[in-house]
Parts: sequence; C-alpha cells; structure tokens
Amino acid sequence: MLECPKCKTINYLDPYAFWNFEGNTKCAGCDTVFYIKKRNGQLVDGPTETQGEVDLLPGFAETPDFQPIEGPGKTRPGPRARKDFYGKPTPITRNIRGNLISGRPLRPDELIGSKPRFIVTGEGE
Amino acid sequence: MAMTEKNLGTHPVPWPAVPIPTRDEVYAGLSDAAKEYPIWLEENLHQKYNFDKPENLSRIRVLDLTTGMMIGHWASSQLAEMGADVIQVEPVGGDPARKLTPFGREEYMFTDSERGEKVGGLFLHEMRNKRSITLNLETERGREILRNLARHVDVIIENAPPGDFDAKGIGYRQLSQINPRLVYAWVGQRGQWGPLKDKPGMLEPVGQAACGFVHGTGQPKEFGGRPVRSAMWMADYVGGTVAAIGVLTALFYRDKVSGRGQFIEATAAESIIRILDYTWVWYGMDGSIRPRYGNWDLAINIYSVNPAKDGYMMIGGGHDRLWYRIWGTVSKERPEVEQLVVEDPKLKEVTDRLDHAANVKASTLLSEWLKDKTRAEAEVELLKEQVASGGVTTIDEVAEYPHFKYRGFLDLFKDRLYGEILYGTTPCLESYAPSRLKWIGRPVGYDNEEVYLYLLGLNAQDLKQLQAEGVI
Amino acid sequence: MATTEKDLMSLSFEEYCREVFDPEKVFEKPEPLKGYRVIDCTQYILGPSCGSYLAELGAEVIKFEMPRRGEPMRHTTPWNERSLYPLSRWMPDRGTGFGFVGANFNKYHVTLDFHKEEAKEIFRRFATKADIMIENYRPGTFDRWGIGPRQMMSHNPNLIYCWMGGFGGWGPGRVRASYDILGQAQGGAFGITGHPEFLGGTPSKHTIWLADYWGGMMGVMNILAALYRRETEGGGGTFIEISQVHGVARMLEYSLPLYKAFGVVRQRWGNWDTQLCVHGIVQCGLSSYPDSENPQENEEGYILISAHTDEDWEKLCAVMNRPDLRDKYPTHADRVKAESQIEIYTEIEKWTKDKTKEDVQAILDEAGIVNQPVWNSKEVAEHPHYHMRGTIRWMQDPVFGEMLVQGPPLLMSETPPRVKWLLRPVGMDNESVYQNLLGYSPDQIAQWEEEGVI
Repeated sequence: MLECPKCKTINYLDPYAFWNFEGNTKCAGCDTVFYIKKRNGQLVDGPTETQGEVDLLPGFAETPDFQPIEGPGKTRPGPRARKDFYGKPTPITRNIRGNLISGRPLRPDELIGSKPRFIVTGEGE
Repeated sequence: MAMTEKNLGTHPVPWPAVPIPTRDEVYAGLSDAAKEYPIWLEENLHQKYNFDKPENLSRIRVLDLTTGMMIGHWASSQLAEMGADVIQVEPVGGDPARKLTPFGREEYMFTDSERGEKVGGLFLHEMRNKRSITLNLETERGREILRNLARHVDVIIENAPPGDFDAKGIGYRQLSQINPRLVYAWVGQRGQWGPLKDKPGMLEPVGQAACGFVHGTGQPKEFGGRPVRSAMWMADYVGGTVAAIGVLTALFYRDKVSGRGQFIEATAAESIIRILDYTWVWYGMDGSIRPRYGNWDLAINIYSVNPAKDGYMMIGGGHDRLWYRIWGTVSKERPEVEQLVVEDPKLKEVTDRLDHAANVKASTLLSEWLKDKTRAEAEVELLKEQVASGGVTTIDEVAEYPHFKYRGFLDLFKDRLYGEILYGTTPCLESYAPSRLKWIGRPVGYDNEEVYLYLLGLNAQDLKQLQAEGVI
Repeated sequence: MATTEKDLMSLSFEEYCREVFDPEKVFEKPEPLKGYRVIDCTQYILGPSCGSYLAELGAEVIKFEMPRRGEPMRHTTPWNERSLYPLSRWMPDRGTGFGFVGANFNKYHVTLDFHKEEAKEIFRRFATKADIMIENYRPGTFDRWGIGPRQMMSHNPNLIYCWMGGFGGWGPGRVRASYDILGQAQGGAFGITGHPEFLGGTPSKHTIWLADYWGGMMGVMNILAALYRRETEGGGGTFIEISQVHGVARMLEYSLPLYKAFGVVRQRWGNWDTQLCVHGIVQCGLSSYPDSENPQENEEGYILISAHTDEDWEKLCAVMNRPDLRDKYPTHADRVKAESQIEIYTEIEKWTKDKTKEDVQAILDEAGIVNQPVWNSKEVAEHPHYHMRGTIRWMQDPVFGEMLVQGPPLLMSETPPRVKWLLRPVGMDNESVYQNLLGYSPDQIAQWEEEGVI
C-alpha cells in the first residue's frame, strides 16, 4: 500500500495490477501524482512526487481514520454485475419476469411454518 | 521454447526425486491412540491392496465409440477402472486424438514396444484398462458388425454428429430393438438436439465457452484482464463424469427394477451450467450478470489467491474465527497491517467484508505480507494459527509433494507395452471394491483378433477379409 | 399422450430426441433412486453437492445442520447483496445466501448439534434407516464421536459411507483443511490455467468451485457403483474416501506423463490450445451491447475459432483475406508450434478488431468454420436451447417463489433426474423426519429444539 507522505491517506495498490508496475499513480486523498516502481511486489523506486498523467489509479483508498475515498478520478472501479450496484442487501419481492420471490427480510407473523405467507398466498408482499 | 516448458525437456526425470516417506516417518511422534484412526483408514484404502479385492462393475461390458473429444474417453475410463470390460472402437487408422501432442512435438509421444506406434500423452493417459478394436462405420458391413456387437454389451457411448448413428441405423432407436437392455449414451459439447446442437468438428473448449465459464474466469477488465479458458479440456471431464453417473444410474435401474436400458445424453456445456452454482438464480432475481473476479471470490473474503515472493498463495478465512487468525499471523511481523484491519469499523461484520473495497484492502494487505514470504514459509506461519492455506503449485511440485506420493495421488506404473508412465490415479478410494489400473493403453486395433473372436466368433481368415475390404 | 413404439420410429431424429428427453414430461417418469435414503452431514460444497446429485436422482436426502444458524455456506453471498428469506422459522429476518444455492436441491433439512451427547445418541439411530451416509468433517471427528464409519457400519453392514474432504484422513497432509481453490492450487490446475507470463498474465482460478462441485460428482459416481454392486451381487456396504485435491491432480491430462518421461513442466498457454492450431479464443474489438447499462455488456466480445485442419485453415485465411498466412503455415505441424501460434493469433485479432463476436460468428458460420462465441451468463440464461432441453429453466420453488435454475445436466429417456426445490430453510423438516423416522413425539422434539440439541 502507499501511505501518502503529504496527507497520510492510505492508498491500496492492489496486488495484481501493481505487482510489477512502473509509472505514475496518485494519492486519492490529495491528488498528488507519484512515480513508483515495483518488482515482484517490492518497492524498488519511489514514491517520488511528479507531474504528469496518471497511468493507474489505486484500487481503493481511505483516510487514517478509515473514511473511504472512492470514485472517478480517485480509485479504479471494481467489476459490477449490474448498473445499480450497492454492495449491501436491498429488499426485492419480484424477479426479472415480474413474479414473486422471497428476497426481503420477514417477520415471524409473515410465516406459515417455515414458508413466507406471501409466496404461498400471493398477497402481502 | 523457453516460454512453453520450464526446461527444454528432453530427458526422463527420476521419480520420486525425493524418497516417499515411510509410514513411521509420517506418523512419528503420535501416540498410539492418535494414529489409530489414520492407520485404520490406510489399511482399508491403500491402493496396494486393490488387487486383493473385488470390483464394482466386473460384469459390465462397454463399447466406447467416441473419437476426437475426451468426454467419452473420460467416462469410459471411470467405468474401466471400476472393473468394466471397456472396448474402444476406433476408426480404421485410429482415433485422431491419438495424434495430439503439445506443440506438435513428436518427441513427446509414447511408443509401444510391440508395434512401435506413437501415441500422445493426452490420449494415453485416458486409455486406461481399455482394449482397442477398429471398425469402419461408413460401410454397411461395419454397421452390421456393430449391431451384432450390441447384443453382447451393456453400454454404448458415442459422440458422432447429431443424428449420425441414427441415420446409419445404429442409433439408440435401432440398437435398443436388438438389445432392449442396452444403455446408450450420447456425449458432446452442446447437444445432439436443439437449436445449438453440435456441429461436426466441435471440441472443447466449445463447451466451456458456451456455458458462461470462460466469460467468468480470469482477471476482470478493470484489472486489465481478459476472460480465459481452463488449461484442460475441463468441461469434457466434468461432462464425462456426468455421463458415467448416467450410465451407472441406468444400469442400476435396469438390473434392479425394469430389465430395460435407456437413452442418455450428457454435454460438456450443460455439465458446467449445473455447477455454475448461483449464476442462474442471481440473473433471474435481479438481472445480474456474473462478473469475472480474477483470483478473488464474489461471496467470501478472504478466499483468494494473491502474489507472494515465489509465486501465488491461496489463503481462506471469511468468518471471524479465521479472519482474525490470519491477521494475527501477519501481525507477528507487520503489526501495523493488522491494525489497519482490526481497527477499521467498516470490517467488523462478516457481511461488511464482502464489497469490492474490502476485497481490495484485504488482498493488498495480504500481499504486503506475502511479498516477503515464500509460499512454503507463509503456509507454515498460517498453520500455526490453524489457518488453511497453500501455494499454487507447478507440475514438478505436484509430482514431488510428499502427501501426494505417499497417498498415491500419482503413481509410476510399469506398463507391459508403454514402459514406465507417471499418471494421475483415480480419486475414488474405496474399501470393499476399489478402482484400479490394469494397463495404461493399447495401440490401434491391438485387440481385434481376440475381441472379434470371443464376441462374434470371427476367425483370423474372416478378419483378413474384413481388413481387405476396409471394414476393420 | 402416450406415444407408441411405432410413432417413435417414424419421427425425425430431432423430433425423437425432443420427445424422449422432453423436460415437461420428466415428472411422468420414475425416479431411479426412489426408496433409497441418504444421511447428509456435509457443509460447504464438496459434500453437499454429492447429496444434491443423489437427491436429483430421486433419493431421499436428509441434511443435518447446526440449530438456528444452519450451515456456514448459507452465510455467503456474492458481494453481500442477495439472500432468500427466511433463513429459518426462528430467524425470518435473516436469509440464506447464494453460496448455498446449487448444492442443496431436493433435500430435507433437519438440525442437530453433534457436540451434544444426546445428539450423538439420536444420530446413531439413523444408521439402520439409511442406505448411504456422506460427511465431510475433519477426519476422525465422527469416529471420536462414535458415529463414524466403524460404528455406523457395524450398526448397518449394508451402509455405504462416503467421506469427502481435501487431503484425506491418512498421510502426511491429513491434518490440512482444504477449500476448493486450495484444491485447485495444490492439485496443479491453477498453475497451468491463465494467460502466459510473456503476455503479462498470471495463474488463474477456475471461476467455478471445480474441485468441490466436480469432486461431489466423483463421489456420487463411486457411491452409485457401490450401490449397483451391493444390489446386484450382495457384499454389503463399503467405505469411500474422496479427496478433492486428488481429484484435481487426476485432471491434468498429459502433464504428469510428460513430466516424468521428458522433463516437461507444463506452462500456462492462455486462450490458445497447446495441441491444436487454430483452436483458440480471440478478442473481438467491439462490444455486442455498447449501449447497455450493465457494465458487463459494455466489454469487447470474445470468440473461439476452430480451424485446425488444413482445409479449415485455408477457409479461415480466405475470409480474413490473408493468403500470406496460409502460405507461411501450410501444415498443422507448422501452425501448432509455439512461435507460430503467437503470430497467428496476433494476426487473427487484427482481423477481429473492428467486429463484434456476432459479426465474426456470422462470417465463420457462412464459411463453415467451427466457432463458439464466449457468452456471458445473461446470453446463456436467455438462450432457448438450454430452456428447450431443461438444463436451465424457470421453476416455482414452494418456499421462495419463481426462480431461474439450472436443471440436472443429465438427460435420461426413462428415469430422468429432476429438481423439485431449490433449498429449504434451516430445520424445516425437523418434525416430520424426527417423528416419522425415529418416533419422537412433537413435545420431545420441541424440547430438544429449546435446549439446542436439535
């Protein structure tokens, strides 16, 4: 990882992309561009502050008190399975065909035995 | 080529290069109570006792008519190792798959001691326990012979282009009339019917590409990666296993209940579809398209392979017990790294460790530690905290791994025709009727005389005639 | 409508197959393992998938999980997003994650805490009720608890007992726990898969839990062979041990023979084939869905091109308008060399650079050259071929609603396997199983649930 000497932001230079990287990356916190050279994961040169284009953004960054720093121009996006992607549970009750599925948390009174009532009866989703 | 083989590979290597440990060495220092169960297992399962024991399929005879692909040969290997009499029926001149060899290198092929015929490693490794006869099914006489053979066998496996055998009068519809007990399996890449039925010439990795596997494997585009296929014709092996399961199920039902065989189909693509776990449910629920995630896992963090000093290292541990032990191991040399994890409120809950940012952080920090450790060193350190881990191994490492040698995951077989062959043994170990290797392979048509005589009563004269006509 | 023998003979081959393999008729046909019972004490994927395959074949599979929370795999789901609710009637606000999906079709789910003494007593009573028992606890655990192969098979000498795990219960590595990708890594499949070093590639895992899901299939295969032998010849039960790491090593093709005989250490060769050329997957420069909102669809396409015979190679060079390549590599021996492959695929990608994979597919289909686009999961999920064959289909799960699921991959004309339900909440079948099979009263069962025994 790269701890920025200027603003102390911790930038995570993910291993697959950066293992043998040579070029410019940046601190997602203060936007300073740094030249680094890594060989087999070892930092052999840099970080040296520099000007110029960024070759590869960090995979993720956060402040020393763990506030995340992400977004265009800051960190690289990860792969996404859909456009609207939250990375945490969201309740759904209809599938892509518009039919009922049990994708939301339930209350005990919403069960018949171990089954969701609304799936069995079709009502109360 | 320096880029294709680690060394130029021209000489046999000694195996084992490091002696296989003895039983005393393996269980040294254990109390009698502690080693009693492992030794009981060994005594019941070790392959050295195989030939003292019966076989599961000793009364079954199989014809393997598949060519070109490995899916049928894999299926028949399983049956053959479980005791079935498997006869490979090859075109005159042999199965084209015999000619396959890496980069076309003939010097990497194997030669039998009687006929001096060359065969490639892929084919030879999958010809275990099988006989070879030749038969030309393009001739009517050849088809007639097959119809006669069908009376004497329990199982037929074929992979001809869709409908080909049916059109020739030797498909399931026709052969089941001659032998209603026949279990008949068609195997292929995508199917023998349906809009995507196989086109002639389709071979793996068609199956892998047609099911979503290739798209989902490899580094994501966001990491500069591309989809990648399995090095092996993997879908053929999974599909072949499904075919073998189908054959065994059909034999079971025939001999236990109905007295009749049936028609079976198994494909490479659909066998992988079966094991693409939650992909289809996920799509059906919210339209998600399964992304590649390189060597990280979509559903578990930590469950990944990351670069280390001398290669790549697998470490697993998603739930609290193991998660904290992994970072505890790292803290022995890099306490600041552990701090970054355990003090981060975003990583407290197991489920909060699953988003992409958490994966990046965990893998980056693991590699911070791993860059100074060889795979072997990392494994030892993690084992102290009872964390399961292991390096990505190369073939020479696989061949020399003490556990694999001791357990016979691989073995050096001395074949009468092909000499010494190091091969991968069957993972099915059984106490009562274990699978076993009897011979590694045969040249083309080696068993023509014997098989055609004892099954169809054809003598040497008949065979000569058939050979002259190009039927055999 | 029943079709007679004569009707079947008169159909075209395609019609005949559609008829005998019709997924809509599967439930009209007998189940091959009807009447056979499996006790399933497995977790994660290797063991549970074995139980699932048996359940798809019609066996009654009873799966034992820890009370309340169930099995750990229920608590894994891709990127934390989706779950199926309820986890159980005790925890309806929690759900079962997708990690559990695909390995637990058709099973009955009960709970039992094996750590408790009464639980072991209860469990022993299942020995004589089962034909098959599968477990994947650490080697020796069940033996110590008095419910291992030695004990259960002495209660029931007909029992087929299958243990599945990483390294096996004996040998120097017996103490090592394993996961699927550990099996892939240690078994050798991981190191040879992926783009080559000289193209900047790295070793790559198989996206599927190959060692586990396929290891479960090998387990089923051995179990079925043993069952066949037991039912047709006698001889009683047997003990089977399946090591998934061993399974991976079995799949390495020519790697081990060539290593010993010639000192060859197989390396990664990416999307190309080491033994056939042209037979590789190349990039098509354009996305098939450039305007899609789903980032997965904005990527360039990829396609497998197979033109390794001289005849097909000529056709390929003709459609690419590259007679120079044809002349440079006239025979297969010329094409399949490593350095030739590097040039050939580089040149092919120049030709595919301005096309989508569908463009390339159309041109190759026209020319009669074998090809297969690399489809993403949506393209596969929506393809009518798989739906027609029942290997991907919509089904109404009785608990969770309408789901798109994989069907069993095995088509059988007389006794086809089938998926009845996707999975069930933790402990859903406690009452029926413990009462029907072991005769415990509902009050006793409720008390044990209270105490956490069940």
